[in-house]
Amino acid sequence: MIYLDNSATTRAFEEAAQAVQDALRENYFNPSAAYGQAIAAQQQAQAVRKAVLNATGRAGEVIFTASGTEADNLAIQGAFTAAGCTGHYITTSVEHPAVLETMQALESRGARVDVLKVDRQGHLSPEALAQAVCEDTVLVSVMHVNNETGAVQDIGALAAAVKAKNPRVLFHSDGVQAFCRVMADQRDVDLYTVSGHKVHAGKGIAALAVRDLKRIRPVIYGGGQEQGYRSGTENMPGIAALGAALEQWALHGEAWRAGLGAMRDDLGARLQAGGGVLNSTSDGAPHIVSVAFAGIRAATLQQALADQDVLVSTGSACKSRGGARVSPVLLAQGIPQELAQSTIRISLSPLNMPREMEQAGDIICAAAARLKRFIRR
Amino acid sequence: MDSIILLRYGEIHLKGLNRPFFEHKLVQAIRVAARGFGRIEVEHGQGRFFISGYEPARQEELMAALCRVFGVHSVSPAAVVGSDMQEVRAAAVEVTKAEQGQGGSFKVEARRSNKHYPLNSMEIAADVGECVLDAMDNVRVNVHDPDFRVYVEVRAERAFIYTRILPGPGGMPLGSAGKAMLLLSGGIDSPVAGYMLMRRGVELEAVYFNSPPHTTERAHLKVKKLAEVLSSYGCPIRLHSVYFTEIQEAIYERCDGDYTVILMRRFMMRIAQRLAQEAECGCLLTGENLGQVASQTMQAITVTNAICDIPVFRPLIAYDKNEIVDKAQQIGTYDISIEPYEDCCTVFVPKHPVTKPRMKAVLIEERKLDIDALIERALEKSETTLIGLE
Repeated sequence: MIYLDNSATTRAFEEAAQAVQDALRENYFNPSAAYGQAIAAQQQAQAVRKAVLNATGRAGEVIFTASGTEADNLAIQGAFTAAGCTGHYITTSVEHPAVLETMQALESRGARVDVLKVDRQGHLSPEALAQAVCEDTVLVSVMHVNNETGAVQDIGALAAAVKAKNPRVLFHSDGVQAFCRVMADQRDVDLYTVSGHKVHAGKGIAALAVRDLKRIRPVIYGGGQEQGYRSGTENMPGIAALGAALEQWALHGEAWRAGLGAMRDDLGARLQAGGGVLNSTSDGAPHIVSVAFAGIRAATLQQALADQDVLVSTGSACKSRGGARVSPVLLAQGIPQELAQSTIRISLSPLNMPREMEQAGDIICAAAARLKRFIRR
Repeated sequence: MDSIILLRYGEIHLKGLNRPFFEHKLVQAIRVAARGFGRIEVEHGQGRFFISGYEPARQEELMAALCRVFGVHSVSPAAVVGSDMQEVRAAAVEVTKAEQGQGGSFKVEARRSNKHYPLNSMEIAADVGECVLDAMDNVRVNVHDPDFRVYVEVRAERAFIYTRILPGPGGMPLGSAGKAMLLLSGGIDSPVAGYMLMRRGVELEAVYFNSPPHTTERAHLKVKKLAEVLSSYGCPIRLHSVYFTEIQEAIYERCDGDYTVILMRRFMMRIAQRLAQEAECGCLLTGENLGQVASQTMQAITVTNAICDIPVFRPLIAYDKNEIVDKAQQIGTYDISIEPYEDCCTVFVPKHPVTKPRMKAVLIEERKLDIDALIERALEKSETTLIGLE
């Protein structure tokens, strides 16, 4: 099998799996308890918070959540509640549903929401964003790396432009697809979402990095864990796994990022040679190749590849359960319908080997060539 | 006060000498539906069965299960007491208070199978009606158009009292009318067609035409889910998933594009008939509906029908789409059918399919294909799954 769907999820690192085993069987104590073992667990969680900050180049607080979606909700709903359930909110048309749907929910509760368009490369310009910022704007949410096309937003410049216009505005970025793979200037980024299962730490652990906790309110109430911002007993196996995975990224991250970029470029070139049209660009995320083979339905190509044990996805995994629908993100980026419905997403990880790009490239191009014979007349 | 379920059957009572056969099939179906409810007793009455022996707390659940059994006209939860009028009155009051506490106008309907009973039916009704009227403040009598009815049935040594009648699906017991091979796509119509024939007592096998990679594994899964819903009405279903890719591709590459759908349909019928004969199914069953799509015009159906030697039943032929949708929602297949995974019919559909195919032209197109070899290979790569219990 060649697994090329790492933006859907990744295989956990051996070290992360070990950490889960250890947290379930040996160090299984509730960090809120009073005895020494519990205190050790609490300290372990603190260390992982620090690792999250290091991996993102940030300072401030880290609130652990169960998913990136939950962290996005905490950022957006949390800011909305803190602002008195009113005000103006800005996002983009290419966001993940975790952001877009949450914004829509705010709108139904009385917020004003502006959804800004992006250009053909998937970029939002700092000028356009600043122009949309108002006196009563509460929060701007712009995703760091697009999960379907790999387009990278310059969140440092965007956040700076927002702050220059109105320093009270909170800047949030969904960094789930960027985490560990694309770095950014985080100085003006108030809230940043990351998730464990995209970086080989397993599912069920994610976090919201927060500069100033006073600017948000909790979404989940209860026993007051995570400084009261996310109640519920800490997911220590998840936290431990995230810590273990981040250790690996701290050691090898630089080399891995370079390796991913090289594999992406290699595979991209092979696919282009086989007639593929790339939606992703070389200034995009190093691990995502978005490619269309005109006329071939993405679901058909994806199934043909699955039959040969090459696993890719059509659009994002969250969307592809919906099957034949065309990705609204691709359309929003101005990709023509015909290419959008033929687009598959290939996403890489450090567990991929460079030689897999050659094999996968051959298999994908051969499948596309075969399926070209059966285009709907 | 004990409780039983009174189950009425519909058409079976019209049968003559073979009635015991149908009754036996219905009892079998009742026992299948009541699996997991303990060892139930089924006692024969006239045009009805009396069901007892289940856990009283699960009576509602069991009735809901029985209301899905084909051949069942209706079911009622009934109190069972001795046939003494004293007991009948008390039970009638208790049942009415419990089941019709909201009050309103009512009427008592009485019948007696014990013709030596001291009161006749009219007298029983009047007597019981008076007791209920006395016992409840919020009821009044209306014999013409009552809000609810209190039923009293006096038998030799027992009497049954009830006020609720829950409708069953009607039809005939499963397995009383043979077996059909259903052409099951992922669409809305074919599962409804399957249900309709099951309701007439027909057991099903199903055939699905799988065209990977043009159709995805999720489309296949969807068909399995549809078969599972159908099987929940009382019989396991063998699902034959036929590898159709090569046939579709051959038609696409070698034949006139406007004829692809009609040629495909003829292949499907050939294969379904072959499977039907192997599985001893007496007919093919499709969700075809006159004029719905190009392959379902009268001319097109004539051309696809021509290669079949066994009857092809098309129970939806005269239905409107919205009627089929309603039915699909009612039987629980609609939400699965509208999951957006393409079935094999939609991938290779030409922009202008022929709506009035001529047999001669179809035969000319078919001469371009090695039909027998294609079918052999399709069947070789097919798989059969048993869906549902047993």
